[in-house]
Amino acid sequence: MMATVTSLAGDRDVAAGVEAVFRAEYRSLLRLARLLVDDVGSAEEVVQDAFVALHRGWDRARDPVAFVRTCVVNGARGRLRRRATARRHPFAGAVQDASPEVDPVVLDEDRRAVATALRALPDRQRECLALRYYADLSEAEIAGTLGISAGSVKTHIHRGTAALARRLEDLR
Amino acid sequence: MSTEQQIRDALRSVADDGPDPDVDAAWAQLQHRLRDTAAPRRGRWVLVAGAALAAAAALVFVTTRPDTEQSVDVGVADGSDASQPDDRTHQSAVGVPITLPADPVAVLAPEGGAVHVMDPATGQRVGTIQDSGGGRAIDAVATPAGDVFVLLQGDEPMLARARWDGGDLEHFVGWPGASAAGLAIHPGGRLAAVGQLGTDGRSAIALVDVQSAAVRELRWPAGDPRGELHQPQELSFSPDGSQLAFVNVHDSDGTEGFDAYVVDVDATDLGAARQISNAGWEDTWNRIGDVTFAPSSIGGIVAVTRLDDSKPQVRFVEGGPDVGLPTLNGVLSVQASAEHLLARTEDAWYALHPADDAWRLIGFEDWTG
Repeated sequence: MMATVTSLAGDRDVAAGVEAVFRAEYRSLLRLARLLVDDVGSAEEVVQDAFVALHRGWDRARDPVAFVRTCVVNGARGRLRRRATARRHPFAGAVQDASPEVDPVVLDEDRRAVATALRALPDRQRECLALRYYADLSEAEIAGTLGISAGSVKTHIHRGTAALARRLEDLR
Repeated sequence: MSTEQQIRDALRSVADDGPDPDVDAAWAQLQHRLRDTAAPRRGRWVLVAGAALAAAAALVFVTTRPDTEQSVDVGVADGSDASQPDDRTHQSAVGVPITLPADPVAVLAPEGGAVHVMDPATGQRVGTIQDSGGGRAIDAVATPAGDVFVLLQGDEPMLARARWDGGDLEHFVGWPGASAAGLAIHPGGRLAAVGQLGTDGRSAIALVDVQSAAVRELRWPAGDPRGELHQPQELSFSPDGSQLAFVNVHDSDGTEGFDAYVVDVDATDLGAARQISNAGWEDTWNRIGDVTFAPSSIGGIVAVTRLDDSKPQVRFVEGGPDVGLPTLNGVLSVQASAEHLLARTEDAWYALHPADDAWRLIGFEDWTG
């Protein structure tokens, strides 16, 4: 009986912890996800999935915000790759995750141009730029989030910055 | 205005566009999802990664999470029923299992930077290999003779080795300024292969003589875009040791692509590497008996490339993981147990015996653990 009481109390603690992180971080994570997947619906799903993962992994998440941020980046990358795979295999009719890449209703012309330029970057460059210049993470934090070395982060930011600046200049 | 500031403004213009999100509504939606998936959070097992442990006649499972690759329990299952790991499994660790020549099994624990040696009979940790210099273990493999080779990430990537049953970790090759990932040991134990990306932005596979520490590098020809930005990953020697398989990552259409290649170990560069799959990820070679498999994706159907002799031959296997498309991000993997090829999708496990022409569903994945 004591074990049951302890378990239920633990579940309440987890729910309260997840809610606190959700209310503090949802907006910024949703915006980060929008940079990574572009369309609002996918971004919302990515963030929801990330918090489901946080709920399940709460006991093991030493830094819940870092944990859920990593889930968002990985989830966004997974969606983009599934779309890319779907484009390469047009006969796969049962693809459930082949949503359009940009919601044409949401973005005005200038923002759509920026989104297009951002989308044209390789995954890692886009992730590094979003985490550095939007989420304001340090290179070490980005390395931890993406599971790559700080040197690779520096390389991706350098190349991504140059490529994005070039594309933005071309769009003007 | 600086370029960085222009990019900050551009990113914010996209991210912050649109109405302020309704946090209360989103929280209510999340609560609904959590209720739908509610289940006991403890005492359930999730089968995610499998490794052969023929000596102990058991399968060793390590649970991990597809979304973060950070989690954590080691399990042992009776090989007769892979869907029901027994409850001898208790030890927390993180990462991938490594098959050792004796009963204990080593488990790489990237979070703690250590390699744990587990006793599958009890589920208890019987030893830990850790770098006294503070290097973080990012990959590890064992030789048939019982040496454990560990790829460390500290101030620089470094290859080190130790005996699994004790002794200090010995550093013997480093790559200043490079990044490294992917480690394989030749079946004869004479070579270690490490994927790396140098400070010049070019990738290479370093073949290290484990006795002399001499290094020979296999590089893509100058100017070949396949040699840019990403180090070769998922290195694996062929069962006879004459070839090396690896996954090469490339950037195209704004997304990363994954191609599996095979190159002769005696080649002078990677220019002669043969592409065997357009969907290489996780394990590149799996051998069961005399049959070697590699994961492949053709026409959107999960298939297996059967490698006979030097010519890859695609063998479609009926009844396999019906996911429509292979899912990346570590969600689909194909691995070998002692007698079966195991395939994991987002929600199920499948097994294939080399003598069979069809996959067998062996259990559904349950993320409640």
